[in-house]
Formats: sequence, C-alpha cells, structure tokens
Amino acid sequence: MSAVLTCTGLAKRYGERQAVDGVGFEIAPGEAYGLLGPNGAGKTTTISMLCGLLDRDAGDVVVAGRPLDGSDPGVKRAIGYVPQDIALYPELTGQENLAFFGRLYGLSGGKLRQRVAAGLELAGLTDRGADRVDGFSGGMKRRLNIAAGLLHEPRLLVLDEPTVGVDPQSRNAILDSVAALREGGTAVLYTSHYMEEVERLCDRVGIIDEGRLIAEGTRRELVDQVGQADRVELTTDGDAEALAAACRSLEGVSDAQVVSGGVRLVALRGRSLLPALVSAADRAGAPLSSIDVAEPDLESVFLHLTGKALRD
Amino acid sequence: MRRTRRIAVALAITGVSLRRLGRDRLGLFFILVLPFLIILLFGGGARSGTAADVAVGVLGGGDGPLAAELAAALEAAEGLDVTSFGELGELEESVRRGRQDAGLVIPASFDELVASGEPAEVELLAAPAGLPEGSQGAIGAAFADLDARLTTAQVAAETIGIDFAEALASTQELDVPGVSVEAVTVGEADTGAGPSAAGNLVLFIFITSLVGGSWLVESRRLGVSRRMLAAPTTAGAVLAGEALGRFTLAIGQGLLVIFGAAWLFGVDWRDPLALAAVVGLFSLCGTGAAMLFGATFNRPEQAGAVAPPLGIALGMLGGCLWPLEIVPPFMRVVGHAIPHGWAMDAVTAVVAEGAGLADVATELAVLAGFAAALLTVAAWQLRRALTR
Ligand SMILES: Nc1ncnc2c1ncn2[C@@H]1O[C@H](COP(=O)(O)OP(=O)(O)O)[C@@H](O)[C@H]1O
Ligand SMILES: [Mg+2]
Repeated sequence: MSAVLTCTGLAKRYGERQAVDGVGFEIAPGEAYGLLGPNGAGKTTTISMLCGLLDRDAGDVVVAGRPLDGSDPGVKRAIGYVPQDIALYPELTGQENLAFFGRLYGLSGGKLRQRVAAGLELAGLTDRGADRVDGFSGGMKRRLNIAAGLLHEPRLLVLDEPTVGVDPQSRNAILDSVAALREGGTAVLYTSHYMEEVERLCDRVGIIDEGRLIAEGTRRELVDQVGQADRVELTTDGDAEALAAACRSLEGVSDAQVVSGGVRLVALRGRSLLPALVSAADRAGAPLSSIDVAEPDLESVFLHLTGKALRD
Repeated sequence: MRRTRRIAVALAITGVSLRRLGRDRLGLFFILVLPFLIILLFGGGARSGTAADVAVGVLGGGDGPLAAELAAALEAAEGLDVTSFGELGELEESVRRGRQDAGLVIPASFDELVASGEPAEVELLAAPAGLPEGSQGAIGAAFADLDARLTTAQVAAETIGIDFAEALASTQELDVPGVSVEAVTVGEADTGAGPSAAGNLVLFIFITSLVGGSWLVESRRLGVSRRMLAAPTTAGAVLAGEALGRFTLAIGQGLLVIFGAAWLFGVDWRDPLALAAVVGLFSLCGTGAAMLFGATFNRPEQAGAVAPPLGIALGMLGGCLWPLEIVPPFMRVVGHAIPHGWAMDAVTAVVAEGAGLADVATELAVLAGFAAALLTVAAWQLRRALTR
C-alpha cells in the first residue's frame, strides 16, 4: 500500500539558525511513526511544514498521493493536526470549540453534531461539553485538543508532544486512545522527547537532533546500532564531573554524560565493567551511591549517536 | 463548490469571533455602555474641554467712534477672546465648525444707525451645540456700558432738545434705541448631544476595532490561528474570516452609537446614505487597523492594554474629542494624516449641515484609500505573522 505521507529534503532556516535540515521520512497507512528528539531539535518545525502551517525553504511533501504545495488546500483534509500548545478558545465551551474546528474541515449539520459528540466521548468529556474550556484541568484541555484534530476522521494524525504537562492518568488515556486509533487504521506521526512514549506507541522511530534525522528504524533496528552496549546509571554525592571524566577514560565506555545527581553512560558489556567503574569512582573522589544497568533502549541510542542525553 | 467552502470557513471564523465577544464582559461593557456614558457625561458637546475663554468672532460695525468703542469694550471684556472677521460666510463657517464659540454680527453702519435713533440690532451667532455657559453674560456685559450711555443721550436729546449725536458726544450718558443682542443659531439647534455623538461614533468604531485586533493577538498566541491554517482552506479564507469578524464588530458598534444616540439623546443624524457610507468606509479602516494591530503585537495582555488608550489617543488627534478647528494648524494636519480627521469632517458635515453623499465625496474617497491601504498591508503582515 502506498504511503500516507512522504516527505523529502525538508529545510527551514530562522535567521542564522537552521532549524530543520534535510529531513525526510515515510509513513504507511496504519503505521505509527515516532519523531524523537530533545527540545529544540526541530520536531515542531518539521510538523508545521508537513501540515502546511509554515512555508518551507526546501523539500517536498506528498499526502495520500497528492503534493502539498499550496495549490490545493483540500490535500490537508487527510491530516489531523494536534499542536504542541493547546490551541482552543478558552472562553468557549468544549462543544463550541469542537464544532468550530469541525466546520473548518467542512463538517456541518447532523454529521457535525455526531462528530462533536464522538470527539467529546473520546476526550472523556461528554458530561463537560457545555462547560467553558478555561475551567478545564490541563489534562482535560489536552484531551480536547486531541479530539479537535480528529473530528474529520483524518487518515494521518499528527501529534506534537501531546502529553506535555499532563498527569500520568491523562497521559495513559491519551496513549491508549492513540493506540486504539492506530489499530483502527489511522496512520500516526507522534513527536516527543519522552523515549518511553515513543517506545510504547510507535512501529518506527526517527531520531532527530539539531534539525537532522540522524537515525531511523524500528526500535530493534535502532538498538542494534548501539550493539551490545548497556546503559549504566551511576549516582554519587561526590563530584559528578570528575566521575564522568574518570568513566570516559575506561575502555568500553562509549559515552558518559553528567545528569542530575550522577552520570549516565553507554558501555560495551556494562555488567563486566562494574568493578572497574567502582574503583574509577573511588579514584575520582566520587564514591557511588547506586548503580543501575539497563538493556539498551532509545535513550542509549540517542546518547550513543549524539553524546547527549535526551533530557536533563 | 470550493468557493462556497471558503466562504463557509470564513463565516465560521467570523462567527467564533463574535461568540467570543459575547463571553467577554469587559469587552461588552466597552462596546455597549461606555459610548453612552461618555455622551451623557460630555453631552454638552465636543467643546467641554475649552472652559477658559469664550471665543467670539466679530464682524462689521464700520469705522465710526461708537463702533470702535464697542470693539474696545469687547476686547477688554473679561472671559472673551475676540477675533475680527471680514465676511459673514467666514464667520458663520467658523462658528459652525466650533472654531469660534459665538459670532457677533454688528450692522455695518453702526454709528449712523445709532445716531439716527434706529434700534441697532446685533446678531449673536451660536453653534448647533448652543452657546457655551456664561458666554451670553460676558458678551452682554461688554454691551452694557455703551447701552447705558446711549440711553442717557437719548433722554438728553429728547428733554433738552439738542442733537442726539451731540448729546452722546458731550454728556457721554444715554439711550433708548439701545443695543439689543439677539441670539441666532447657525445650523439646527438640538440637545447638544450631536457633536458629542458624532465624535463618539468615530472614536468608538476605532477603539472597538482595536480591541477586536487584540483578540486576534490572543488567537495567534493560543495557536488557534495556525491551527486554522492546518484546515483544508486557504490563508486568504482565514484572513477574510478574521477581517469580517472585525468589520462586523466595527459596524455593529457604529450602528449602536447611531441608534442609541438617536433614541436616548434625540440626535438627528440627517442623511442616512451619507452616514452609512462614512461609517462603512471608516469601519473598513478600523478593520485594517485591527488586523495590523493583531499582526504587530505578540503578547495579548500587552495588546489588550494598548488598544483602548491608543484608540483614545487617535481619537484626540483626529478631532473626536474636540473639533480640529480649535487646534494649531500643524495638529490639524496630523489629524488628517489618520482616517479619523476625514471621518470627523464627513460625519460633522452630515450631522451639522445635512450634507449628502456628494458633499462628502472627497472625505469618502480619502477614507476608501486609507481602508484599501490598511487592509492590504494588514493582510500581508498577518499572513507573514502566521506562516513565518
Ligand atoms: N519562529 C521561530 N523563530 C526563530 N526560531 C525558531 C522559531 N521556531 C523555532 N525556532 C528555533 O528552531 C529550532 C527548532 O525548534 P522546534 O522545531 O520548535 O523544536 P522542537 O519542537 O523539537 O522542540 C529551535 O532552535 C528553535 O529555537
Ligand atoms: Mg516542539
């Protein structure tokens, strides 16, 4: 089956800053694609160009077989866009907000009413639909924000960090409903700087940093790039900088990064390295208070590829 | 088909702007109540700010000694600021426009009239808003002295039988034909709410537009505007919807002031067609300014705080709070560098003189030019602000 979304060579510059630099990927129907990268990596800029919100400097976007080039705004009907910030009118009710966005997508009459009701249900807000949005909690707003992007039943749902600032319960609800949509055949483009969400939800992941797509594949494929490396977390009350420096000098450590309260590193056969790590810490005057060795995950892939932590 | 879709999108955006207004108590107060409070407070007219001297234009009198004496008495009178005029038309225009609070038309052959024993009638011209408080007293006082002397001279001439002019000259105490001052209003007199209502019409159309512009900043800030661009429609349709919302708001404000002032204060707006043209074009100027305002500011709180004072400041410059005739020529030019000056000229002409469409054609053309320029720049700026 042909791709729902194909983009190639996307580029956008803000003054001196090359925010997006040659990003391209494909999403198949029913596939969930995760765009994972730290804050400022260029995720929102990429998405804005895909959704036709931002004029791009270069690159092509094809949505459901039709080019997105401004000549035919109807192309955008295939996309449901959920912005990173809550884009709702606070003084209008949940129902009114949904009805407004539904109208923008050409819904009207009974069909609009039906879709608004479905949207409220998906957001878990059926009995709050007549209340003003400025009285909603952060999580409620987030869920309504997502529902507003789904009213017209798009083939591709684009979510830009949809769980920022929500409580764990809402976050779970959001992830579950996105997973359910994907099961129903909707393609999903999901950006996040939370590795766990992307790992849980996405079939394929693109890792983006400083405007470039630096790796892409299934979780398995990406983790294999790191090889047999493990992710090791060390905590210390001592000098974390000195600890990181000491770790870096050890053979098999591919990267060591200071994080709050300790050091995070990727090491080949991390378990066999533990005695060496302990004595290195002692020599550095930063005795360890805990050691945690984990199987490699996307976090370690990112660390391996960029030498940076995804967060902190 | 595609066009009707775009229109539907634009109307949905317009509808949501107005619905938001309905939820904004402070905004509603500004739009519904404040204009009438201001008309009520300053109902005496647009001139309430000039409580100092009463400006009187004087015409005629000839070059006799009595005329000179009268002129000197007026000049010396407390609270009067006298200007000489050479032509009746000029004086009338000045009074009507509020450049002068009142005009005195003294018969050209004042001395001869008085000498011949005829009653010398001096006409007092007042603007439609009526004479400023106290002005009639100040003018009357200037006449009192001369009046008393004329009375005495008359008595002397009749009892002693000498020549009236001689009596007047020698005794310097007189009367009977006397000098009476009769007030004549130039243009139609009304409750005095007229000028204030005209100023408020122009003032509030613009303030309301700018407040509407600040909501646009909020839409942008909220990201709703960008979200609109993600919908299967054009940036043009989104801009048109936002513009139509602001235009509806401006026109609605205009209609409210027009009908409200007519019902509450009995203001007669005269030619409805001319008035509609001015209000329509000026509302388009307001729409353009609102969109430009909405594109310029990035913080809604800032925009919301700036909109009303900016609207008032522009209204002051444009002659909404006092007539441009009383300001220095340079400020008059400034007032006409913004749409307000032209709108005020046109509305004043319609309300005070019953001017029709043709009479205000120049003002309308200038307003149309302002509207076209503002809307073009605003659409361009706003599109840039949204898709940059
Ligand atoms: N409107 C803008 N003007 C200037 N710089 C911007 C703008 N939007 C984003 N940037 C910059 O572009 C880079 C990418 O931003 P963004 O796409 O928002 O990253 P992400 O969504 O991954 O956090 C950042 O360095 C950001 O500061
Ligand atoms: Mg972002």
